[in-house]
Amino acid sequence: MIFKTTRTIGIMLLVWALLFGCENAPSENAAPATVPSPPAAGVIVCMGDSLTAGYGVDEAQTYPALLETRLRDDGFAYRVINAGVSGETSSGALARVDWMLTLDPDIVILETGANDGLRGVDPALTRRNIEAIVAKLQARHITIVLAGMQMVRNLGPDFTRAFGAIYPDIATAADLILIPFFLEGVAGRPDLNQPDGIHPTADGYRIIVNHIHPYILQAIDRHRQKLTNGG
Amino acid sequence: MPGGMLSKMIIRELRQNRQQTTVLFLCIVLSVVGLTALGGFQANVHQAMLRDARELHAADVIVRSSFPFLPAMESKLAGLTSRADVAMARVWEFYTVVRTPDASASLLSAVKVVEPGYPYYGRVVLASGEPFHEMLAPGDIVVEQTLLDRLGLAIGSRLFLGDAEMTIRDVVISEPDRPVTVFTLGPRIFVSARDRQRLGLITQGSRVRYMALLRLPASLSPEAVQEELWSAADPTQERVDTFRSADSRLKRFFDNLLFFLKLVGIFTLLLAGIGIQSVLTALMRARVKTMATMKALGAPNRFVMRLYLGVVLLLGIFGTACGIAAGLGLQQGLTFLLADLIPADATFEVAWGAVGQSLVVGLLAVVLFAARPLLNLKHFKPSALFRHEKQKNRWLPGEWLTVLLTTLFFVALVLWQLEDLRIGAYFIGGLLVLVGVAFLGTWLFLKALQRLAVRHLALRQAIRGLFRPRNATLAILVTLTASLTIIYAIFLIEKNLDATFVQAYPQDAPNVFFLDIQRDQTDAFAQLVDRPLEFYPIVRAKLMAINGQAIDPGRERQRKSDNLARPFNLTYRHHLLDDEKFVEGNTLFNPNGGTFQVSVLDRVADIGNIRMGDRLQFKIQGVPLEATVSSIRTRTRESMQPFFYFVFPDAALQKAPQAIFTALRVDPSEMAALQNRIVQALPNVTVLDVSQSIRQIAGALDRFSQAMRFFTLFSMAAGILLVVSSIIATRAARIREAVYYKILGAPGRFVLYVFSLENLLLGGASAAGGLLLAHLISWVVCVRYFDIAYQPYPAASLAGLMVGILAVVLVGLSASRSIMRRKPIQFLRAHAAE
Repeated sequence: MIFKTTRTIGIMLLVWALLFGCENAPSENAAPATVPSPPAAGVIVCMGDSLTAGYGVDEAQTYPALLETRLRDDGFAYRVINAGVSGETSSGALARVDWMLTLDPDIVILETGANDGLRGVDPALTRRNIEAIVAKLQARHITIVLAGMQMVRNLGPDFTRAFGAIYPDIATAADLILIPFFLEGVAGRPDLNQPDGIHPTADGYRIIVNHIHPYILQAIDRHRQKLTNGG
Repeated sequence: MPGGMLSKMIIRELRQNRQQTTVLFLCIVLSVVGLTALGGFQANVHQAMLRDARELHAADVIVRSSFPFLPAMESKLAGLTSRADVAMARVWEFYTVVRTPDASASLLSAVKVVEPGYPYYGRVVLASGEPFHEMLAPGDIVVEQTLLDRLGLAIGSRLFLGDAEMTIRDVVISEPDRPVTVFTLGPRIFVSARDRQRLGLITQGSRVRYMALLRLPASLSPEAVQEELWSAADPTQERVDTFRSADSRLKRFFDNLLFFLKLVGIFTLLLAGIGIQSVLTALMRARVKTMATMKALGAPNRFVMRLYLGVVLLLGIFGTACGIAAGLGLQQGLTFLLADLIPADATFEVAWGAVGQSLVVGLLAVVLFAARPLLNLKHFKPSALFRHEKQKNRWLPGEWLTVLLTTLFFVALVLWQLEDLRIGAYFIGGLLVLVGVAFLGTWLFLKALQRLAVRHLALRQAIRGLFRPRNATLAILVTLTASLTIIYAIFLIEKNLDATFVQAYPQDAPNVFFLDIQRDQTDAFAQLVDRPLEFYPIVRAKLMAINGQAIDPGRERQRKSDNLARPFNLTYRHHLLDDEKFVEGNTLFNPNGGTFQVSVLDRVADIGNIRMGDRLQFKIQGVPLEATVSSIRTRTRESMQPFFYFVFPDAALQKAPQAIFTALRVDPSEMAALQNRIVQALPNVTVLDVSQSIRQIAGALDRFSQAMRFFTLFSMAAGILLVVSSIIATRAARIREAVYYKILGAPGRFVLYVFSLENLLLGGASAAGGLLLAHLISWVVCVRYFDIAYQPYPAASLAGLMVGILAVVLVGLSASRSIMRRKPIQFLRAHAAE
């Protein structure tokens, strides 16, 4: 307790710890943009919040890292980039779409909105933000996989209903590939979540990758079709 | 030898040396008063802190989980509560979006569902003044005023929580355990546990904090119960805390304050020891001739010994008794000063530990310190009296034993005060090193002074004055230095504690935070708020490497302090904040250094051993960025104001994805309206209202800081008085110099001048040395023990130095004044025998 050189961590840090997570947060990127990798069939950018960033688990255990390995095993040499930011709301996601586009993605897995819900942001705003993000990505002919989300039940039936409807509505309207519920089989299970009850453990992420895998294959299929049609 | 003779002689001794015996008596009284009163207050403050810490958690032991408790925990809890004297209340906390019955408005609110026992300590204060649980009948809720304001409701209004329509019965003013969760996203709603099922909100797929609060009888230690519950807990889900183990800023302040009080206690003890020792030594030195004369006239050794033992014992007993009485009186009399701290229902309690300690210190210190000169008496040859022989300084086994006993006695007292063997050992070790350093420094200083060739007559005389035989300059200097060290150290530590904990919550500290403002919303936001604002752009990024050396997340996570592997919040700007200054460099960025420069806060520079010119590699959401360290900043005070480890030039980060953050001080009466305005216009902005927690924390800190300041002043005053008395005692003895000067025709002004210079040398050396050592002690205590930043307070230190020197000079002169005023012939007649 004594004889250590730490100093008081200001209370502001607490704000970050609470909202964005602070300790043990993993790296954001599976592969640095500058490191040359074997000729890739394409780039998949995983855009999202702490569920994508992999709050509290090691970099290699986050879903983008696991997904890249899984796809390699399938014979798809896609580079999967983790562009998750812990604590981000859909407003933040919308604001950084242009930055994310510098990664030149072929496929974007869009997982956002959970923090909006947890902070009680009006679902109508979340809906508008996601619609705007989708529009920007589609303007660049990027294949989108939309990760559907459901809100924790304690927020009340009206709120969870309005929130849950956002994802299928947008997917139908914009013809996106929809993962009905990103945390299917993981949410609410103590054994697959960290002590905070909302962030999956490494085991949880393995289940998530199993669950989303067919949707990603579907997206790869679409991407390839675009390539053959376009080129 | 008849006893009547002895007592007559004792009385005569006391009467004849009135000045010195009075000083010794006062010294003993003062020491004992200090120890008794301080000990008593310490006990009071300790109790008050324990009470506050309990209230802060509303229970003795708390079990928490994000999921329903597992069967193992449930059965352990059932076992515990089967005891009649253990009480348990369950609490569920979660957020929900409440809505008005007409569905016109909704709001995210922080719900707390409580069973009847809650809170076991402290009180939920309602606007109506009614008892909390009487207002919380089934179907009723108690809400924070902000909720009414934001939804436009009043008491009696209906509100939907989940499936249930509830009635607002009352407004909550404060809840004891609010500061535990400082930041909340919405106003509080209290719901009775009997409505828990009706709400339908605590169910599969809900995010709820499950808690069990336990109240234990005095016979059960919270730590033992915690241990027992931990054995049944699943550590991946369940947490068990006691009100003592749960970490919080307030708790840290309490711990530090408690240690500070112990330190002050020990310091007062040491000052008392030093004071008694120096006064007693001076008294004995002055009496040596009388003792020798008695022996020469045939008085047996034992008689002389008994005589002086009688003198000191009488003074000791009487002084200690007076001191304890005065100390208790002072403690009771000043209780009103700390009225805020002391529970209204608590009766005045005598801290018997403190009284016992005072008694032992008062009597034993006197006897132990007197023992050495008395033991020496046996070997004093009457002939020495006539031959003006120098006393041989041979140490006898008895004297060694006395010194050993005295040391052991103080070591035992220090350990007893600190109640921790390891820290006590560090403390005593450090103290010994310090005394050694002070001794060595003083010795070197005197040696250097002796070699100095001074032409100035008065100064030369002053320096010679220090080296005259029997002046005991070394002893006086060490005594003064040690005393001043202690006084300065108390002062500096208190200032640092105050700066870290108390001043971090000034009246204008921010009480509401706004997160996630988007870049194109700053103008709108500024308009809505309509007051001066600082916008802090935040770019989330990770530090990947320093000078190409990759950050190792595994190693970083083992750090107890902040670690370099977490995502950081970068910002960009070109100015220093009000509470920042440069440690290295004098501009944030080198004007010719290009775009990619970074200014680093010293705190993170220390963690990562980052230096000027180092290259830091960041990754901003997938995109790498390398920057060179162009300056290192530090914060001048701990505060609620935001701070940033890494600051970049605008050009480096302006294009990166960012959110904007700001902090404001808002009057509580405007809070709801402001939140409404902002959420309506900018619904994506997250508002963190911390006003209630801040108010509660600041209130507690304020009360305890008053106590802290009182202790500091009290012990400093006692210390100064002890220093004064020892100066008077030691300096008066060597005043005959003045007489000789006068005989030799020196004008009174010259004598005064020489004496002033001599005292100035003493005061300057001891105050400077003391200040230096005090900074060292305070730095160690603050940085190593309290784990807080250390500020040296140069201006206050300088002022302290001046006061110290001035005090030594003035007291030294005033001690010699009476003698200087006397005609030389009177003095010579009185000392004709010599």
